[in-house]
Amino acid sequence: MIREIIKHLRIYAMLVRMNVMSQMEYRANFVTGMLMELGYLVVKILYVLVAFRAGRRIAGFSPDEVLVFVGTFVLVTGFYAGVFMMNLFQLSTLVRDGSFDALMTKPISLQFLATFRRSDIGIFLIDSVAGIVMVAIGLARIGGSLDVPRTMGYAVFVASGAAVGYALYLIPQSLVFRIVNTSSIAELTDSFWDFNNVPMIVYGKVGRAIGVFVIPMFVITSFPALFVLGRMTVPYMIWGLAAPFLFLGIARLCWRSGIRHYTSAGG
Amino acid sequence: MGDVAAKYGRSFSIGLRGAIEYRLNFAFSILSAVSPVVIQTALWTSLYSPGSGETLFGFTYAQMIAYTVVANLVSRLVRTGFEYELNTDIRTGGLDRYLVKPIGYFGFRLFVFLGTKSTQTGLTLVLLAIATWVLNAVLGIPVSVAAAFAFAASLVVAFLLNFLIFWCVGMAGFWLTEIGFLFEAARIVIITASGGIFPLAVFGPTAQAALNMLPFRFTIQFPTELLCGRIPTGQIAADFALSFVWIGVLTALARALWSAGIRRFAAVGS
Repeated sequence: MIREIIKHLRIYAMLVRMNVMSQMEYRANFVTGMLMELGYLVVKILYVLVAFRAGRRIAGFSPDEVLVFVGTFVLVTGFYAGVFMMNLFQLSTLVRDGSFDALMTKPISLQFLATFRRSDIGIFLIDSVAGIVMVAIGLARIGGSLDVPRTMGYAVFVASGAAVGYALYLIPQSLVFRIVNTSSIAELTDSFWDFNNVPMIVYGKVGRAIGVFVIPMFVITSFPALFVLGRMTVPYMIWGLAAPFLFLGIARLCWRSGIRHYTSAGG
Repeated sequence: MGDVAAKYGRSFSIGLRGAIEYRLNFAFSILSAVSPVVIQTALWTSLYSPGSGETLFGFTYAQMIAYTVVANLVSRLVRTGFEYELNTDIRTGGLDRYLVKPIGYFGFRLFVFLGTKSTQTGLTLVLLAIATWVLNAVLGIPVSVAAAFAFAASLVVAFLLNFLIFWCVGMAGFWLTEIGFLFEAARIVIITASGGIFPLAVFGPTAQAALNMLPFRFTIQFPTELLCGRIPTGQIAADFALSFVWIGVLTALARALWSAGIRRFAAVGS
């Protein structure tokens, strides 16, 4: 098991290196990709701007606390946009043009290769650095202490959020093996990501319950922010640690079930 | 004259047929407008004190919700996409097929775009009618017949301006071989400057005054505010006049960029 994990980590490091080399070959694409992500970053910051300019609390959270929420959202978006989103949205193309066959012949996990094959280091760096800076500024302004246990806990909940995000976006994309063209599903589910642009508390009781327990979008970015702000309840803490295991398991089942329906388009 | 009308009528029908063929795609794109509406409505609902009648950024709560709903629909409606086809034509050399045809490429693309928008406008207008009825019933936002006519006229201006803006952005294809995500980056900035995400008032009075003078506002905020009855009657004519000035300026810029770009065009691959 450990040997397999180390092997896949080594392969992932090689894939990242290859992606960086490929991006350096097409530098204009690399630069315009970063410009695009900066544009999205500006849109996310607009929500903070609204909170500050309105000069009032949002559902009990001060504008500085909202900055921590949005900063966390930006940080986890680094994983979403820079690490797995492009792979999930490209599954449809791989299946349609038959290139998925080539991935099946490799002696490593097919799900790993298909969903982590590509990455964009530029997007990842922009979002993660900007997110950390926003969280740090927000915490500094409210005078929050950032000791080692709190930092470690925050990192655990960010990792848990990234894992839940991966699982939640893999589940609908595993339909690709049954209906082939999932581009409209991709566009629709992508628009759900932005629900984390504001603290989950603004969505009301029913919205919060759905977003935490049914489609746990809020576990992705609201939970780390709640933890670091010292506003996390114990049930949320337990759920925040359990959800990645549960949803990664469901995603794995959906993937395996989907693969059984795969018929090669290129063979 | 009849020949010209027939040529551009045919271009219009190409766009129309394409839009009918991909109507489900547009329906999904409209559906994806639901998320920002829900997010922003939740945000504004938590920012306004319930039943106080207060204003934020010059909007009452009801006006802000109406703005959020209408602006999201309008931004989906005026959205372009032809710039990617334009770039493909330049990059692959396919543009030369159009250069030898007895029709201007600019006019061809414009009428295809308008044809595409004609069916989408029908669907969006139905949704807008439902939305305004609901907004009126729930929040008491009335829409007068005059406002509806002014909105329809402003939509034509918005289509033309957005076409010209993205035509000018698309001309970058003559100079850059790798456009990559440039169009998407430009689209995000332009939507933000158009009031497509939040009203321009959130940027503060100075930035708002500057953005009001630019063409972007006329693609989303202007039609939205006209429909919501937020623009004083005396101001409407002046705003339309400014939008016409921008149509003139951008047309001249589009022609200049095309002239400069076409001289660099090498028809690679054809």
